[in-house]
Amino acid sequence: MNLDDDDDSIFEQALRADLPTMAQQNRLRQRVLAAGVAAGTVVGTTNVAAATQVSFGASALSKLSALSWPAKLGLSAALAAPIAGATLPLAYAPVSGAAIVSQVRSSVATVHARAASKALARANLLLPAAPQAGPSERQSEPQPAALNVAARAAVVPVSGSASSSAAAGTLAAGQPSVAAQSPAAGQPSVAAFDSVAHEAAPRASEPLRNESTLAAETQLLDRAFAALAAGDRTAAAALVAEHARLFPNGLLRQERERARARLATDSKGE
Amino acid sequence: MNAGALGRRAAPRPLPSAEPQAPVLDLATIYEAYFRYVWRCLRSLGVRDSQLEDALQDVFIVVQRRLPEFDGRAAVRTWLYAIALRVARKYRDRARREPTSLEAAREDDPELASAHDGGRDSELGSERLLLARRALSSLDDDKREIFVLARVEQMSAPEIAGVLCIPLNTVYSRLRAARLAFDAEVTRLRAISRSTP
Repeated sequence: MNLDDDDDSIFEQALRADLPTMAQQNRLRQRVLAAGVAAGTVVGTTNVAAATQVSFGASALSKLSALSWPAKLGLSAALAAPIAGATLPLAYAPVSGAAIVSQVRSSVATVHARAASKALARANLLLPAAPQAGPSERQSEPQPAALNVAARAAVVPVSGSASSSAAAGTLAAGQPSVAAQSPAAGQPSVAAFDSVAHEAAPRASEPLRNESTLAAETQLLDRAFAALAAGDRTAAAALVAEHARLFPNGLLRQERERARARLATDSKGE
Repeated sequence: MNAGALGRRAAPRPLPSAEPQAPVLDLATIYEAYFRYVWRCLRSLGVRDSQLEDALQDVFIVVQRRLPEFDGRAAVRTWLYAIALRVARKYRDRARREPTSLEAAREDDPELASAHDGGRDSELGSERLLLARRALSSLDDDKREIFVLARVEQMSAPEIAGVLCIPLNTVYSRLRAARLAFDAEVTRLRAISRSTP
């Protein structure tokens, strides 16, 4: 039996109509937004992953952890702010960004409040000790003043360095990235998203405290990779060692190991 | 089906309703406008349901990375599908390397997935979709890709040639073969379903 054109179109139409349901669409946005929280409010990969596990399953966790750290920061920062804000003209009813943030943060706070407190305690205890490091480290790698400034932490990973900014994805030549745009320019920014999140969940203090951890980690490793790229293996090794000392179980420890592997590879090459 | 049929499709025809009129250079806008179609494309191209979200995210990570290089000479939609096609290949290859499991077997067979999980297809009551997906999964990769791009995503032959990096004549001949294979499988499946009480 041969199918006529109508039969063909029926089956092809069925395939064309196979779009995600509204629930699936919302889940996809939630997933992106959950990742966005990592950059927008810098909850931290671990906590985001926990929320991801709760909401979307273990595959999302493995995916998130498998991403390179510039990708984690860049994609989520670029997507989170407009999705959370109201500037995007959506043709369908979107999930309220604030509601999702609240949901994600509630999960994070519930599941990982204890872990966040521990991370905070570790960060606050260890960071002041940084200037006490060896003289060579102190000279070559002065500690950034922003390490404990939570309010700035959301911006630091994205716009704080050339490499991370580039990795975050400048959307077009001559145009600032979404993450780097300021609220004054009429565009949603990571900071603006953060303020929305604060309104939605003012009690989420643990994730906020983790901001300093991720910001500090990001800055250290950003500089380490920059030093590697510049061929300054000594500085890179010092930065990697400093990260290991300050954040032995840090959120970006996989990236640290990657940097170590590159250092080892380079040394073999020499 | 013949080359003429594809040529007719190459004429302007309604694209997905979210097709933007103005040049789109903003990642978030691209995501919102196209992610449903990219999701459909990935699914039609054989990415397992459990990996669809990962694959979708991979596509937009690539989009984010490559957006500064996008010169606007191709349509955003074509560019996205070219990325999705390569991501889907990666996921298909990975799935083939993985040891088979019950879950994987279910996902590889839409009918099993529907019957055992009360899956999305049965929720929608879409026997046609189920049958079409089964027929689609019977095609080899080359035929499946060209069929999806031409008949599901409704891309024109020149667009497909650009996405797949193959000559235009190959597009026509491969699509013809793909449609024949698809039709034959649909016919076979319908005959089976009719003969089954």
